[in-house]
Amino acid sequence: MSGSTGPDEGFERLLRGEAPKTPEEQALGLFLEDVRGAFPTEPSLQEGAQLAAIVQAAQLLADKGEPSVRSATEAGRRVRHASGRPKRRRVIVKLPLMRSLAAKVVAGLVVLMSMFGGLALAGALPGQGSDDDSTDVVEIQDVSDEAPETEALETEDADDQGEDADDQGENEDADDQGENEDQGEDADDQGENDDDQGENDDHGEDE
Amino acid sequence: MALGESFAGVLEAARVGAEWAWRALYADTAPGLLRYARASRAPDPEDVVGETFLRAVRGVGSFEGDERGFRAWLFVLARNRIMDEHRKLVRRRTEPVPVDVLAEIGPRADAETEALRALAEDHVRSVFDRLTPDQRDVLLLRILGGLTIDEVATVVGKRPGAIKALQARGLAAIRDKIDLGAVTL
Repeated sequence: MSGSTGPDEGFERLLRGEAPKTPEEQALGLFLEDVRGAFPTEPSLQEGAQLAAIVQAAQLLADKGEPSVRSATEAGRRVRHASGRPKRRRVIVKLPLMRSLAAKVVAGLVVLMSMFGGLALAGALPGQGSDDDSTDVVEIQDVSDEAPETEALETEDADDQGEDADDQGENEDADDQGENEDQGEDADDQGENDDDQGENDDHGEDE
Repeated sequence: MALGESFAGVLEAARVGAEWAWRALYADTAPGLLRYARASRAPDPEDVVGETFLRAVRGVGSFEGDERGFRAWLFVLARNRIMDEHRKLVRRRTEPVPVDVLAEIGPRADAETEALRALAEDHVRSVFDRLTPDQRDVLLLRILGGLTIDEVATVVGKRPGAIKALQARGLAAIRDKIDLGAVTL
């Protein structure tokens, strides 16, 4: 800035307290005096309180052994705590969960999986319900087919052997064997029920 | 500078909390800081000075430099504080002031002297209002703070060449105002 070298030199001279050399510098010098007069050097009204606070803070820091925890260039910045902020919280603040499309898709899948998983546990899904019902129907049909025969046996034995009638009711094969000619085959197939079958035979004898 | 060669000893004593050392540093630099804070329209210039020194207490342990560097550093702290105050003022338009504080900041001298000072301040402000904030800051730091170009560059955070350019433009604007006879005190 060669054009401003002259005026800047005059300004520098005035700042150093030298006398102005040109009328222009003289006008500028008067303005500088006005500036200094408008904002005079006065002692602070709170000088005593401020000095007390300054000295107290300085002595506290000196007693603590750490007169400064920050460099002079960082003195105007916020105080950094010794332990720092929790890293986990900082990550959460900086990274929103639903920021990416992949995160949204994954979240949707998790919701769907949890929904269907809950329905499956409750047995409310269509496929699960039909299988169970068909099985139940078969069992009910078996019982309904045998119920009259059991009742018939019970009616026959009810007077003499109430306890045996109960045993027969629990053992389906024994009921069949009591009336059917296939008793021998059933007895071979089910050795465990031989004793019961014998008892049934006894029932027949009682009759 | 008032401390001169004794500055190094004063600084060492201040680092260990010596009361006399902080009194000496305060007496040497606080008036200039207060002038600068007032000229910069700080909402509470006294508070700026107090906060500046409290920050200096916390940072003096790691400060390295001579007396002029220390003075420039204090102006850095003061300027940051003033900027913070201005930001707060923008966010909070009004701030209630206690009556006792109003009484303290009232006229200090006799009415005539105070009136002349207020008149001079109005005229000076009318001239400085023609400048950009950066130009005004540079000239205030040079005139009231007594800082050099390099020290102002440190305080403002710009290169010395940029400070020279800001100063030249600011002085040109002031001369135009002076030539028009706006400042006639």
